[in-house]
Parts: sequence; C-alpha cells; structure tokens
Amino acid sequence: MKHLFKGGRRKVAAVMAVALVASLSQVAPSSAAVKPTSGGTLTVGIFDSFPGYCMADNLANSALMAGRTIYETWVEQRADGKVVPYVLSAVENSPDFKSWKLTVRDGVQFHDGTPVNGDALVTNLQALRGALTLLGRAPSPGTAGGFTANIVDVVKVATNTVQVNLYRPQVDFLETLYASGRFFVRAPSQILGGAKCSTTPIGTGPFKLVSTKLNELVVAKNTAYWREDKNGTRLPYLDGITFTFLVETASRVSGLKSKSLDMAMFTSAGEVKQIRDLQQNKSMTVIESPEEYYPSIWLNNRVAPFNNKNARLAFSYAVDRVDYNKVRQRNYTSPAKSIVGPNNIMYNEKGFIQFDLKKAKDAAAAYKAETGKDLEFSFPYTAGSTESLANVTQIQKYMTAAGIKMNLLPLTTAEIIQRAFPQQFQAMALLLMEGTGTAFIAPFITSDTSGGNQTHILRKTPLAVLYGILNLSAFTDTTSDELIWQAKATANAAARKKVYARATELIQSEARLTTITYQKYALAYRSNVKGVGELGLTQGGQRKLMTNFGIDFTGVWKSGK
Amino acid sequence: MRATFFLQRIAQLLIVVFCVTFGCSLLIQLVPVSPAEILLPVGSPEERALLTAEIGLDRGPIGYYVKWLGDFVTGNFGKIYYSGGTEEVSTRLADAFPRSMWLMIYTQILALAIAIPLGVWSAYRVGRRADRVISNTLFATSSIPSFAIALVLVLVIGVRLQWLPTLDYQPYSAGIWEHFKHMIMPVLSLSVGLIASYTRLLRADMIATLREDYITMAASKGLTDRRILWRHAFRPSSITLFTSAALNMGGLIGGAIVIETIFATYGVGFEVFAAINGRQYIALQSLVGLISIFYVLFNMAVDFIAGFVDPRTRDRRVNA
Repeated sequence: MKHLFKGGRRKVAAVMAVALVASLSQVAPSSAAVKPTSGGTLTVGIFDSFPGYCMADNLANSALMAGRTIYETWVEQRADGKVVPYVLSAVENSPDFKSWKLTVRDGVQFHDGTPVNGDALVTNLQALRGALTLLGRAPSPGTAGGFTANIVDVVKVATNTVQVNLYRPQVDFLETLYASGRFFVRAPSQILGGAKCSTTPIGTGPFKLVSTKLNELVVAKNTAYWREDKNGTRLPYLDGITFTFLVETASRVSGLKSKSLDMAMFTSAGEVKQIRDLQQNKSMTVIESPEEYYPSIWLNNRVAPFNNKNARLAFSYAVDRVDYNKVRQRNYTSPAKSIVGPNNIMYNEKGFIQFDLKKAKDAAAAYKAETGKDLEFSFPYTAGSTESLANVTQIQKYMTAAGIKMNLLPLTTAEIIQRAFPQQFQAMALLLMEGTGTAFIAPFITSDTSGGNQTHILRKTPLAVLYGILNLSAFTDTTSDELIWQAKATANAAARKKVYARATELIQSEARLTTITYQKYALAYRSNVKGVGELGLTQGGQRKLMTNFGIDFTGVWKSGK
Repeated sequence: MRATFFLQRIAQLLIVVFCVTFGCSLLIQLVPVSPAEILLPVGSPEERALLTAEIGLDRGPIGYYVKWLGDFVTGNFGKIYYSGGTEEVSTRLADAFPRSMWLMIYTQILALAIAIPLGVWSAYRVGRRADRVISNTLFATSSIPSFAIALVLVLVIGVRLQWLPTLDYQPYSAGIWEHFKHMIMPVLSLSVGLIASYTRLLRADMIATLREDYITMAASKGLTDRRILWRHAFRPSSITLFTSAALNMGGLIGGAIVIETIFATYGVGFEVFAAINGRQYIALQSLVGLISIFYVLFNMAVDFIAGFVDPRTRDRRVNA
C-alpha cells in the first residue's frame, strides 16, 4: 500500500488530483505570482456570428463574450450565483420587494465620453421594456420586452438614483436586471441613435469598437476605462482583441494549434471530441463552464398532437436519455433528471418523465384510442448541419421504437428562429434556459411575463405578444404560473426553493416540455494568455470563471508579446 | 465589324443580367411571408409598412423591380436590415469583394501557370510515360474536393510545420508578405482541382491540333518543336481552356464559400450565404446581380481574347 503512489503512479495521481480540484473549483491555472504586463493583442475564435448590438439583437454565447468586452452590465453575477452591483454602486429594495432603488456608480463614462448617470439608466430600462419603442424613440426591445414585463414604471429620484416599481414582488429582480449577462449598459446615444443602434455599439466596457461585421468584431483598449487593478494599473492590459466567427470546429482547433488563434471557444453540443483533443494538448489550457445550460425539447401544447397529454407523455417516455448522452454527448455531460440541472433552484426530479419504452407505447396507444390517429409529428433541424441531423436522427430512432412517427424538417437556422417564437412548430429542440436562478428560466415556462398586469404599457399594443412569446411550448397553466410568482415573492431561500420545486413538478408531470441532456461550454487558450479569471469584482468576490458567454477579458494579459 | 461584335456582347450581357435579377425579384414576391415581416419579426405594423414602402414592395412586381434596378445601376445595392437599423450592402461589399477578387486572380494565375506547360508537354509526349504519369496524377487530384485538400494543407503546413497561418485574410496594406502568407493555402486548395481540369482540356485540344495538316507542314518546313508547339499549336488549342477559366472566374467570386469558411477569408461567397441565411432578400438580389454581371463580363472578355488568339473564331461568330 505504501508504494502505491511511488514514481510514475504518484505523478499520475498527483496530476489527477490537481485536475480534479481544478475542475471542481472551476479555477484556471494561476499566474498571480507574475506581474501582469500591458500591451499585445489577442485573436479569439468563436462559434457565433454578430447579428447586431441593439436591444432585439440577441448575441449568442461566444458572440456575447465578445460583445461583453464593449458592454458591461449594471449588476454582475458572482461565482456563488449571487448577483451584486457592478456599474451600479448600490441597490436597495422595499420590504415587499415591489420597489427597487438603483444607484449608478460615480465616474463611469460611455465610450462616447458621456457620463453614466440616472438618465442613462432610465433610458436603458425604458428601451428594454418597450416604452421608448411605443414613443417612436428607439427600436424594438425584442424579447427583452417580455423579460422586463413585470416592471410597472421607472422613475429617476436623484441624479444617479432610479426607482423601479414592479407589478409582482420579485426577490430576484437583480437577476432579471442581469439577464444572464445580456442586459448591457448601452449609451443613450446608441439607443436613441436611429439606424445605427444595431451597428454601432457604445458601452462602458474595457474595450471600444474598432470595426464589426457579421463574422468579426475588432475592439481596442478603452483608455478611459474606470477600473484599475490592485497595483493601481489602469485596466485593461490588452491593446485589443479580434473575435473571429469560425463556424467549423476544425478551423478553431487548427487555428489554436497553428498559433493563428490565441483562444477559442467550444460547446458540448457537437464539439466534445475536439474539446477532449485539446485537453490532451500540453501547450493548451482548457477551462469548462459548469453544467448549467439546459437544452429543451419544446412540445407545442397549443397544436396537435402535443395539445394532448398522452402524446406529450409518449414522447417523453420514449427518449432514452442515458443512451443519447452516451451516443451523442460521449458522456461529456449528464443525462437530464429534471427540466433544469441540479445547480438550478427549480431542480426537482419529481414528476420528470424518464425513459420507459413500455409506457411510451402505452401512451401512444392511448393517444390513438382518444383521437383515432397515429401519433405523428414534424421536428425541425438545421439543414446542412451534420451534427443537428445526427441529433434528430437519434431522437427519431427512439420515437420509431415506441411506434411514433417523427418527420424531420430541414430548415435554415434563421427559419427555425423565425418560426420558433410565433410557436409554429409541433416540437423543436432549442437551448434557452440556463443558470442557477430563474431569471432565464421562468419567462420560458410562464404564460404571461407581465404577471397578469392588465394596465401594462404593452397590453393593448402589438408588442403584447411578447408576454408569452418566450414560452415555446405555448402552454397556459395558471397553477404553475402562480407558483412561480409566489416563489419569486418568497424572501426565505429554503421556502422559495420548495415553492419552485412544486412548480417544476407540476410542469414535468404534465410533460409540457422535456430535457434530454445538459450542456456546458469550454474555452481553450495558449500558454501565453495569462490572468484568466484572476480579476475580482469591484465589490469583492470572483465572477464565474467560465460561462456560456466565456470569460471576462478585463484582467487578461499576454506574455512574450 | 468589331463594333457589331462588341454591341452584340453588350446586348447579351444586359439580357442575362435582366433575366437573372428579374427572376430573383419575382422569387421575393413569391415568398409566403412578407419580407418586411421577416426583416422586422417584432416590429409594429407601421414599421413594417414603412419598410415595405422603402424597399418598394408596395409597387407590385414590376414597380419593385424598376425601383431596385434604378438603385442598382446608380451603385445603391440596398441595405442589410437589423432590428435596430440598417447597413449599406456596398459597405459589406467593399470589404468582401477584394478578398474574393484576389483569391480568384491568384487561383487562376497559379492554375494556368502550371496547367499550360503541363498540358502542352503532356500532349507533346502523348502515350509516353511522362504523359501517363501526368494524366494519372491529374485524374487522381481532380477527384479530391478542394475542401479535403484545404484540410490536409491546414494539418500539414499550418498545424504540424507551422509555416503558414491557417486563418484570416490580410490586405496589401498589412504588408505584401503578410498578404501572400494568408493567401497561399486557400489559393493552393482551389488551384489543385483547376490545374487538373485545365491540363486535361488543353491536352485534349493540343492532341487534336497536333494532328492538323498545317502542323505537319510546319514540321516539314523544319521549324523547331518548341516553335510549333507554342506558336502554331497552343494558340488555337487554348480557346476551350480560356473559356473554362472565364466560367470559373465568375464561379470563384461567389462560389468559394467552403474555402472561405475553412480559412476564414470571408469574401462574396460568405456574404451570399449570410444573406440567404438571414433572409436579406434585397442584399441577396444585388449580390446575385453582381455575380451574374461578372460571369457575363468574363465570358465577354474571353470572346474578345479568343478573337485575337484565333481570328477564325471571331469571323465565324460575326458571320453566323
């Protein structure tokens, strides 16, 4: 026994232990002992393109990482999940959680030189909730209008302080304000700037726009940035970053290996093989996000066949999640046991329909007995994507085994998005829900994000569609809706978790939607990239090292320039 | 006579461009959902009405086409529509077009520079070992798709040897070596297939020409083989080669999307792909119009060159 860890085995064990600790604590290899140096540029390969920077232009995952070099958020999320002020300096809520006072930090300015103050905060919030769109002063808020529909009004109460009043009490309002890193601090000149809102991003971030197009974003150091490091050196360290959209995984991998790229981001959805390959490469560091991303199968509860509970049950019972995770995900992630993952406050295994072929066949037979029709539906996938085709073919295999006919529908990504939000598909796969809280969960599983507010500003306008547009399963369940709002009003964390668990159980037992596996993201970078995850937040604590929107570049530096 | 020839070609150009662009504009009218609804998915009815009027879709198929054409000929290629604003297509093209242009020019220069001597030599040595080696090698390389060659080049030259960058495009302003360094692998990937096809075309034509009586006459007069090959046989044998090259030039401008994606050079092909994917119909129509103009222009240029290379061709066409 005492010889067990001698020589090679000892080294292997030591390496494994370090790797285990690193993976569990989500910590990047530290370069804290070395003093950061300023200068140098990075080239980063990403897998999402840049559709624009206005409120309705949703930057996805790796493009969001790039966008967040220009933009910051009013609040930030710590590694422990708590949301804390960032460009705001203080937050104060009323005892009933229906009113929130937000105070903007002094001395922060936008890239165009204008100050960040109460007026800028009001402009941002009014643009997000669609108030400025109704006045014809700003472009459409897009889905943000749905996310912020619980806001009743936004009032400036002092130069730098704004009061936000809510219709329903919301303990986690700061999570909504964060929107998983998506609600940027935009300059009023951008929001009110007319035709340039989508093409000219103006934020407060450590980098400023140099140029942008669909496949590339180039940013340069913001010399007037408000943050300094602990030594008093003005941040950021880097002179600039180029983010290049590389849709081919192989291009990102070869770019890293040939040193054409300094860094590249990957997703577990179809890129597991490449992530594992890079993990074996000694000149590369690979960091991973937690498994906090929950791709859903949205079963359209409004149209046949999934307006029938037996049809929804048949689908959910038919999917062999363990097999799918092994075949399609190479066991890199975990098979789902709830519609959200274990890190999420809504996680509850009760009511979740697990694989059971016999029950799937019984439910399909019950559907036929009830409707006189065989269970058959169409399922879209991204035309031309072998990964997407392989994923849906695997699901089709499970359906066939259960006697369910699943027709594959090849469409472009744009077509899928186009038809997804008016809820035009019978069923579809899309990753929307994420995180540890419910700000990026609840809007997708409630029927009215305004909380039933009949006097809400969008109520009698065409934008009222935004209240329920995010719920791709198109179901209305007043009981689960009320449970979610009740949980949001519950101050005690343990009690809140219990109420959420009841809502989850109800949604799962009705098979409104289902999840097959969870997802995570990875970022690989070369050894000359330093400082990843080392810069803390202004009010103490660390950010999450790695998320679906990558890392924070403010404290990143480059050695051997 | 040359003026007539020129005018005929111009007329052909206009007819082809009209057919292509008008066909494209009719397709937009046939889209089941209003393009304004697609471009502004969460816009108000008023915003959509404004957009419809701006594009000209409220004027009917002919009115819309006339408006688009009026804009197109004055250099206004339309706009890319975002949720919060627009961007001129010409701005995108100003960046994308040089990338595709240089890629196409270098590819053609390299392919022709290798294919012409190989084709001539192969025809000259027809049936011999050299011909068999060249023919079989070219047959093998022509069956490898350009993306496969690209991936092998990336792996060997980019990743293993680290001689060349595997991604990105650099303009001349970044330095001549930087520019060429980024172009070598994309150009090689596209050239290999073309070299095979050009060599085989030229070889076949050269073999036929070398059997002509006037070649026998030239040989009997004691002219050197080099002079016979290059002065008397190559010129009339090169018409098919140059016609094929011209067709490929048009194709390479908008059709090198796979290579542009692998090497992240992102030229016109990528813009077409992005316009299709983003349902940017107006941009797509303008891009298709531009590509069709290039197709026809290159073909016209070849007709002129063919006329100079082999005057019989020009006379035959004019008399026909």
